[in-house]
Amino acid sequence: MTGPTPGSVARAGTVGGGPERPPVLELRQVRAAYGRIEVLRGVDLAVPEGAVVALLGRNGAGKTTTLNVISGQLPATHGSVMLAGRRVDGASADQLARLGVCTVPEGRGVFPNLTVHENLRLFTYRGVALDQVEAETFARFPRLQARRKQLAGTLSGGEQQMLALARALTTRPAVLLLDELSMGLAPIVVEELYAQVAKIATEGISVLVVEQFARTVLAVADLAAVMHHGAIHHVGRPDAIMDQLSDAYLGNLS
Amino acid sequence: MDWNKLLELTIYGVALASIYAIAASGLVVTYTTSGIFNFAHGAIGMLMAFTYWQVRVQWGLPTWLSLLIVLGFVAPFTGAVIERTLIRNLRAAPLAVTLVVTAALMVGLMGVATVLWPPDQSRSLPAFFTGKTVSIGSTIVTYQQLLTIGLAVLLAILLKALFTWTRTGIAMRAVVDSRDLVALNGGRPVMLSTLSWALGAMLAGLAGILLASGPIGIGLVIEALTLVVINAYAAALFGRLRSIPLTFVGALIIGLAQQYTVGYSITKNAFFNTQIVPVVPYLLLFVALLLMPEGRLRGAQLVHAIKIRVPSLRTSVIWSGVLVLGGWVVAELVTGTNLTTISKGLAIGIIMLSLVPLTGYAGQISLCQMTFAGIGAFAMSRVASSGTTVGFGSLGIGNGSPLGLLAAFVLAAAVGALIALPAIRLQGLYLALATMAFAVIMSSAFFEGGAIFGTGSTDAGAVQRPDFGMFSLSSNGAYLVFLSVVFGLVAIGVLALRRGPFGRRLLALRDSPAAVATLGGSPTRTKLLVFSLSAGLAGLGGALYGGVDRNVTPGQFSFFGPPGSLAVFVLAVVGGVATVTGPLIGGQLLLLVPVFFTWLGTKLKTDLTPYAQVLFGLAGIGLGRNPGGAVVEISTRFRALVSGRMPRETEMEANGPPIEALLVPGSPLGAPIAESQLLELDALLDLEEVSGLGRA
Ligand SMILES: Nc1ncnc2c1ncn2[C@@H]1O[C@H](COP(=O)(O)OP(=O)(O)OP(=O)(O)O)[C@@H](O)[C@H]1O
Ligand SMILES: [Mg+2]
Repeated sequence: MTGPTPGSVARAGTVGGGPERPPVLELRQVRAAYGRIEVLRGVDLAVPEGAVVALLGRNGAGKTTTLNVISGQLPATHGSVMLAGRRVDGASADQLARLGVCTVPEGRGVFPNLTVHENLRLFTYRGVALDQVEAETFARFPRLQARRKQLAGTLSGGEQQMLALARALTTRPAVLLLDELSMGLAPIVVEELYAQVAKIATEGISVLVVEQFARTVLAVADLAAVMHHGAIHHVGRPDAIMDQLSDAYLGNLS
Repeated sequence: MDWNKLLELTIYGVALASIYAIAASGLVVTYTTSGIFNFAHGAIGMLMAFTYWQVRVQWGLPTWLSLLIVLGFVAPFTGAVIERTLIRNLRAAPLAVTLVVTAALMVGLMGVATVLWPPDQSRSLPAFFTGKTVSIGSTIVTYQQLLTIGLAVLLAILLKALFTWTRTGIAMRAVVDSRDLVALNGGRPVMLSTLSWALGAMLAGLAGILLASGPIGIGLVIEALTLVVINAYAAALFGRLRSIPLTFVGALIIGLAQQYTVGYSITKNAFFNTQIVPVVPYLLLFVALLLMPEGRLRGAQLVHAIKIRVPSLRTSVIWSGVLVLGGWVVAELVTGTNLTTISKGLAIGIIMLSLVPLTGYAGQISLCQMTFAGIGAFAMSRVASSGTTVGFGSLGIGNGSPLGLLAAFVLAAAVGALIALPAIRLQGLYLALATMAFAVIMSSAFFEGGAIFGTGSTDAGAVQRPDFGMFSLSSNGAYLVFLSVVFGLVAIGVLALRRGPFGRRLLALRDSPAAVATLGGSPTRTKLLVFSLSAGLAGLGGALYGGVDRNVTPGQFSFFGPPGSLAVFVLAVVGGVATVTGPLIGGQLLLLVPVFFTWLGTKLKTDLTPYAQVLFGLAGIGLGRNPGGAVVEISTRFRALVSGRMPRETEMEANGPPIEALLVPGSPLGAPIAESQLLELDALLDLEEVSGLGRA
């Protein structure tokens, strides 16, 4: 499978995708455990093509674990992960990435000892010319241009996350998994980042975001899911979820 | 000032440094990309030098073709195969296991070389551009030296180009930063790892060929070639096993230091020349390690581990009784050298027991246990004898005074503490390498100096058996029974230690040094104590080991032996170093297997000793698949057989929150921990009767 062609924007509105096409990413009754502690207890989730789906929940709810299962870093003990209608659970992280699932993990999305240029260059194996990759990146994040030769580890936190996003895009993914893009960043930078995320989705890439800054992410999300104790409790339009948010974060669910 | 001599020594030094740099950069590339330190790097270089001899000299192919065959095909292929078959499985393995596997590979490859190219025939490689020289002033420089230096420079340029201009090279650097992130973006860390081993083997091969044909006249000698490449490890450590440029600097320092010490001290001190100069690279290795910045304390990690039951006091006493009974039966049935071989195995077993608290429980690696054993034997020889004329002389307390055993324990423990003081802040691999350097230095500068155990013919090597008056240990049978008693007692003690609070601290040190710090305990003090205790036990074992033959030789306490510190460590881990039965088996394996092969060899009228080496290598390599060691493997299978259930791997954190979850969030290490959390941590650690050993 290759990345979606630009322009195939289908902003689906309901979970489960439209009737014609399966969701780009779908989890069915996924269970997963660290050792004998079960952390995911039957997760059902669908990411329609070109949509931004926000995954919210308290600390320890299992959000990162969900991303780990999707990205192939943790095997599911039960259930299935489907990519464009095909089962992919059991594939390794690098296989999944080459199938079009690219992850920006929590707080460590760049290679600190590589320059910005090298970070961008690493995964251009889909035959995209490096010049083009850089041109796209600098159009999206002009601040990175001047820092082309700088080590990624010396960039500011916000710039690092921009680079992480840009580098993820060089792999031409179908689905982007973003974990806590906002960690340790000023609110203004977070808004800027999520403006870009919204833009990325309009280009046809589906995005699954895990985020603590619920308000910011709900403003750009098409769908939101609230996770509690290893399962999805509510799925709905962002505005509806917003009302339940205080409950979710105070732990009054169920 | 003799400028000519300086120039000459410098050129020799730079040529030697070039070879070190080539070998060391291979080591760095494999280590950074795959995360596994390749102890067998030197042996691969040696093997490739011999292969080159085979192709170039034996088959008479032209030089360029031979080089192409060996460096272009055989070496990379060998490296890739080793990575695919052995190294790949070690990714999540404890450090001790990775060290043992690659060390065993080294011994195994040396065995293979001995089988393929028996040392009874002398071989030599022609120098490149034989006889061609240029002169600088009155100093003559050979083309070979220029070639060597040129190749190192070329390599530096090529590596720089690889790592900055090619995507593969950049990806190899990316793997160093974060292996997971590479995979998450669709890179293949596994492929890069294979590639790095292929490249590493090629560079080791190049260094081996240059050494064997080269300027410092090592020639094609299996041990010497392997060892000299190990000198390059020091260079790699100057670059902290990461930086290629610093590795080159390190190589230059070592190469020059070696040549200058050789060149400028010939007329001064004979002891310095013969005992110190050869270990200059190891002294520098030691220094480089001590200059290392302190690593961050590691937190807990999820470990795949096998549960090991810790026997109760009653059980351990009963089994010790069984051991003594067994020793008595053997003493009745076996005679002659077989009896003393078994006794030596048991004494080595006691030395291996010293690794149980240190490596098995606390996860710290020591490659110098035979050094401590030698110190113990030395103490015994000086305290418990009526007089010796050599070296430090004797206290003359009297033949076989049991005080000698006490002295052995105390002296070795003291030296252990002394060496631990500077080295103890090192973690994992670095501590292992520091102990290796210590073993090599002590072997050359102390044991082989002639003043300690003489040179073989004087009585300075005499070590008395302890004499308890009422029962005599003068017969070999009685001595074996005595050794069984000591083994049993030490085993009971080690297990009691494990059940007590100190044992819990040791496990915590292994599983999460950060947790020890938060408990208010100091990881450093815990380490110091266990290191010193372990050294003391090894000293005791060494004194008893010396008593078997009532005589020792310096070589026994060297790094390579036999028996040697390396083999003691390897076989203790192979036996199962988190158990007390493991050392019992390990000790016997170390002594009996070579004897068996020699015996079989005389029956079959061929020399089978190299096959013993190969077998030894295979045993260590097998450990990669059963990291708990033989004892654990056998006992889980046996229990499964009895109970009809398959053994199940459990995971450490399976029964509770990760240890880190118990740390005070966000606080710097050392912050106080609540009483309830303490209890939780205690409960957590109590579950872990595991053989996890230490991790990198
Ligand atoms: N490697 C691990 N080993 C054992 N347990 C783990 C591990 N990683 C996470 N857990 C546990 O799994 C549960 C879910 O963790 P997860 O990281 O998915 O939460 P999260 O929703 O991402 O939380 P946060 O918002 O804090 O990032 C937690 O209780 C956590 O302690
Ligand atoms: Mg998380």
